[in-house]
Amino acid sequence: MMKMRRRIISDANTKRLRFYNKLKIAIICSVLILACLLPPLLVETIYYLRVIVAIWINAIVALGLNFCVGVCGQISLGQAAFVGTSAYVLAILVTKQGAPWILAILVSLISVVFLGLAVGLVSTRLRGPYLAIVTLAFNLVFVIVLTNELNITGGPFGIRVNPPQVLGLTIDVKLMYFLAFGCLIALYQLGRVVYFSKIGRGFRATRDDELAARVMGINTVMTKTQAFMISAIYAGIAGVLQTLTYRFIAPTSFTVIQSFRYLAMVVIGGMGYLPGSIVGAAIVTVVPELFRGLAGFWDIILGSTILAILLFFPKGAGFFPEYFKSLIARSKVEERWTGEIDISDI
Amino acid sequence: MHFYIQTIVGSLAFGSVYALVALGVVFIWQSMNILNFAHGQFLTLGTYIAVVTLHQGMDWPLWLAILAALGFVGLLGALFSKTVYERIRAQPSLVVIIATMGLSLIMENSALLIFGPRPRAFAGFFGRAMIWVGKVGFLGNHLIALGIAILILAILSMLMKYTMVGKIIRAVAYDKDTAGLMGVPVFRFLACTFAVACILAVIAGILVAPVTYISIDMGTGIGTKAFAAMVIGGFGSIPGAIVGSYLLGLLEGLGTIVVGSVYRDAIAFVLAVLVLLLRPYGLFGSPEKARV
Repeated sequence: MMKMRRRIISDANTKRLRFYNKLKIAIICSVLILACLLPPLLVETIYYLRVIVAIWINAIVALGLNFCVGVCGQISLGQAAFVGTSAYVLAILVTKQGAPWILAILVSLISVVFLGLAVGLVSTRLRGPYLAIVTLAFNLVFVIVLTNELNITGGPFGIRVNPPQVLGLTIDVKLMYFLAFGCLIALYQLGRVVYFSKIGRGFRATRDDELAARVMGINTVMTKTQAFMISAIYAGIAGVLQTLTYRFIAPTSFTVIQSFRYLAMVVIGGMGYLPGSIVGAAIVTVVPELFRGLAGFWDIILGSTILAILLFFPKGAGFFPEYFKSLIARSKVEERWTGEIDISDI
Repeated sequence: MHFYIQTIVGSLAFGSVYALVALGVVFIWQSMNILNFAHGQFLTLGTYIAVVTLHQGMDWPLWLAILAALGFVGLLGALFSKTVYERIRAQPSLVVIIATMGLSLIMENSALLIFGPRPRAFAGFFGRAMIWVGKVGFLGNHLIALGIAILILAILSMLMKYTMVGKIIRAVAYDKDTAGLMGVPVFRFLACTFAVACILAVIAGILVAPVTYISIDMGTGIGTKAFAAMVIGGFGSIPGAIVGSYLLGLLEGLGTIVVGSVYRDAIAFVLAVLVLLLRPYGLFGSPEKARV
């Protein structure tokens, strides 16, 4: 990729414009990141902090799901089950087995990776509607098991865990804020690296035309499994963060509806557009908190929004990518075509 | 022994309910290439309108209430088909699935707002009356569900085979372009198909209502099980959907004896996943050929 980009022939003027665009993006990003670090220092109300932490956690799930749905084109209606698995494994290990937190976190992440591998291996044999039904079934069965295995999962009453202590440090909401935000930034950067790597190109090729990708020598079975595993890992990390933050988990947080909300974040932010997932997560998380009185209407509004986006922006790409790009990079950089499209400002 | 016969008849009653719903989903799948995740919501809506609003709320006679609800949901289905489904038909399956999931979310929560969260009881045609054949007792409502469903399946297959409308619907499902060239108003008949599918779902809902309760999530449960039945029988094939539904009903009923009623709902999905793993095109389907 890097080699290819260097081969792009451009004159001094386009180089300058390109540099300014990059600078602009860098400045905007660093200002945004700094602004995101402020709330725990300024806000004292734990409720607001928790809502923002929820944004970061949901954004991590949405990023992972975007790899599966947006980048690789594989529908997954069971994302909440991945989140739930790591959240529950962590909570069960800590409360029932008395395991140390670090160990429990590691085990829960590993268990999610294996679950992602298993679901991925099953799912790669299936396409379109079959895949949707299997992932949906996976989530439904997951919730049925959670609700009925009272001895292990606490059933509908969920599990309450004590304030987590990692390395002798008690984790409160403020610390969680930085932890979740740090995870999000790190995972976003990791996501960008993956997106532009060989694996990411395999994802996109598989999404655009699976047969053509196979003809080009891409192992699509492997590629799709990788996509499922990436989304599972992201969801697993989010699940761990969720347990650490809320210290209470119940089956209602991991239903199919919740999976659909994660999907809504991806669709609203733009399928295949990574920064969009963060914006989508922010919208889907914050808006219902703003309009608490309209609780009954919220899912109707969410559904209508999704439907409207899919109907009127038929590619299902959402409207954010184009808008952001036009906002930041006003001056179009012209380049002579060398065979590689430059998508570096995504 | 009597216990098993009763269980089998009850399971077949559930199977025929799944069959009606699955048949509608297959109709929509064949004619529009859309997997309608909102199908169960049409079931919920129609059942609530027929039983709760018209029959119990406004004291209409049951048959009139049912007819009115069938007509209303049929029209609603046609309307949705015209406004939503036709637009997303040509999209990649990913977009279609998310869109119909969105629609199902809208419909389920609208129903929750309109009718409230409280489940309703419905006596049905027989109440809790039993019909005794020798020493084996059958629940009247089970027999009614089984009988009416089989009757409707038979009538429908006759209609599809021998009437002009049925022929046109099949022609449209088979090849829209050619049907259009023959002078068939294709989109009108797509809406027609959709309406028939929705009406089938409502009939299923009214048949199952006396056995279960009428609740907001009844449609979601039955709808997803109809998908499971389709997967088991072979996706997109009409005989496959019907056989798959009865098979699912039976295995669910008998499986409940083994794993307990708690995991009753999980049986269908585990079965579907197993079938997909061992025979991805279902028991009666044929392997899909990729088109380039």
